[in-house]
Amino acid sequence: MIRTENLSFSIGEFRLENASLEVADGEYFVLLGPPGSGKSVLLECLCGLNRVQSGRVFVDGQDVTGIEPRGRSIGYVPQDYALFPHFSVEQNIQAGLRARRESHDRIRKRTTAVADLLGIGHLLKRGIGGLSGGEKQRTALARALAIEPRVLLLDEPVSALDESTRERICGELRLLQHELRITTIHISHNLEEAFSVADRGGILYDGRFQQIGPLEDLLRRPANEFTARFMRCQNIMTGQSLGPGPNETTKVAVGEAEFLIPGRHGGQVQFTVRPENVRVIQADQVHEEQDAVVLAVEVARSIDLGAYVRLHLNGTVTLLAHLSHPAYTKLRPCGQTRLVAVVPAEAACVLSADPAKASGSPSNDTTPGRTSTL
Amino acid sequence: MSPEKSMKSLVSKSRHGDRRLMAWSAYCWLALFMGSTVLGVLVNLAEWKVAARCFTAAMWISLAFYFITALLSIDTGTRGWSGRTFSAAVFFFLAVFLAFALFLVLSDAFYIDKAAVVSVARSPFIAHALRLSVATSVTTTAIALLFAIPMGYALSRYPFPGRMLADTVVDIPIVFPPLVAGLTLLIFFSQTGTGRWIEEDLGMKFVFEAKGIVLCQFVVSASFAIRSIKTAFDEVDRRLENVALTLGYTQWGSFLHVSLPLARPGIVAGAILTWARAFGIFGPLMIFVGSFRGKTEVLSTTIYLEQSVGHLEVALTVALLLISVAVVALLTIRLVGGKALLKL
Repeated sequence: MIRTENLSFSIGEFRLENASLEVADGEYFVLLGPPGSGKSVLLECLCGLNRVQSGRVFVDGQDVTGIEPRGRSIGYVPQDYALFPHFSVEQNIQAGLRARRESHDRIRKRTTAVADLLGIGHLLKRGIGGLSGGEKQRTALARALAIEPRVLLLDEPVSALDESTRERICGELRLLQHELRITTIHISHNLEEAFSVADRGGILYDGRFQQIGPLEDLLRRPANEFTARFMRCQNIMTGQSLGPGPNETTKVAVGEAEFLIPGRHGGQVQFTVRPENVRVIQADQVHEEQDAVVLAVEVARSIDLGAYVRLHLNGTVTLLAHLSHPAYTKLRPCGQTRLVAVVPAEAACVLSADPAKASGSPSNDTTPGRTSTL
Repeated sequence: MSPEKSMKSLVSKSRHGDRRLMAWSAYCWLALFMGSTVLGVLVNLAEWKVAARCFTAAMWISLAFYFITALLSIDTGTRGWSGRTFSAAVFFFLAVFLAFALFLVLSDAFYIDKAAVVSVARSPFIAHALRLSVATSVTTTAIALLFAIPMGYALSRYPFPGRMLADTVVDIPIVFPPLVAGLTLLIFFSQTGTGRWIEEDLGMKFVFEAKGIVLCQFVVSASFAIRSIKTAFDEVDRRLENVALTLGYTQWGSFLHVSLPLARPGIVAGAILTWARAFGIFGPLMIFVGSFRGKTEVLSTTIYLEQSVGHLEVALTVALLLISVAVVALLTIRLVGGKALLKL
């Protein structure tokens, strides 16, 4: 288990502020955020490579804030792996064990064990120069695991790999973590990668946690505009509350359109609707739907993205919808038919301007969050 | 494979074969040049004038052919005439410089006579000067590395206040005339309280002493090592040290096992520069330690002393000895030092 309490650290203009995080024993946690948001800096603080200005770091309940990196029992795989170029694969794996002055017998056994676990036994005598991206990644992982760390920190471990290798390695990382039950924090700025390895994650932006929680929550219930945009909820709208709607909903006017959002809200409200939750159907197929709004739309542009089709819809508001191929095929023959977008009330998620209100975030920072238009 | 492709492949292979042939011919011409040079110098010393002229002609012809074949062995890929003319243009300057440098050295080699060589070979003072030159320059290089490695690391890694100023101070000995270094050291030890305290109270004599040679060489050459080693540490990825720390190394261990081996090429380059500068320094030595035969005389000061009393052939023979030692040492450091030195 690794836990931080109100960790603060600044370097140059950048400041990591009151970062509080708890990753349970054996959990695979993914740290998300755009480049420059402070993910690597946070990891370096956890490793002890950066001296924090305030706050504490606990590993398995032990306060390691003042302990130097080698005493923390944290395995660290930095970006681009940072393999020692003057060592062979075997020497890289053994580096930590040699530094800890382990016996020759133990060094040999551990090297064989981690090399076999990661399938790089045949590479041991090779130099670093000739390795492929995947082989380098495994070697770096083997080097970190050889010292039997309590926590494993992976800084964008698959970002340098090609698409297919990345998918395979992510699957292997997940299996490996499950087998070893090692507490893992994995940095990524790629959603597909995050969902393929972890169940829980946190979004960091400008040195502050925007939201921490299950990835499903980050995706379906973003707490603020930044999280919504980062999780690709493109339909972000701000409207004026018009009063209560049916079944514990609120009517909200966005321009000339009217939406239903769950719960009771007053004044100005910002909300988001995930594109896959917007249904696009022919106007004559609309049934009376009590908890949904129906908007007349036209398809401005459609893009086939392989797994789904993205539709840019123009109407009283502009909307983005993701349709499965069968649903899109049903729409296509009716070129002249009027289309409507159906937006159910439960598809809307109300956004907060305050990152401290982010669900699951233990942050006690009350400064208003940044609203970015990334 | 289509006939067209097959033809292209054959042409490509043939061109590759031509280049290899040219490279081999270049090596042969180079060997011929070196052989004719050595023989030319020897027969010139034996005063066989006709043979010396023949070897001299063979020497310059083989050098010209070496440059031509070396140029033709360069692979310009598919760059066509622009690649050829470009490589020829840049190679031209390299050839002119090398030919000029060789011409200068060989002028000396063909000027000396047998009597001068015998005189140098039999002189116990020149043998002492050679030993002192080698010993002091090697000692200076070792002391310079002792300072330059930690200093280069500190300047590369620690953003302390005034680092830019410290960096500039390191460069001062590179820019000021070496003669000034000798003068400054003399002033320091003879005119300042601290200098006199070191000389008189501590009893560490430098002025007109062999120890002063090392001090003088250190002052004028250490900056080259510091500059080169700082650049080498700049190029070592800091994350490698960070990973070493998380793996269990202390800061010392991380430095010794990761940073130092990776900075090795820069350290070797710094050692070469320092040694070369220390070995050839002359002006400050004349001022600070003088040139006492059998005591503080080194090869560079011998040259000055011999030519000042009119023994030009002897001075040039000593100069050739100095150049030969330097070339052998530099080649050895390059070939062996790069791999073996500092292998930790």
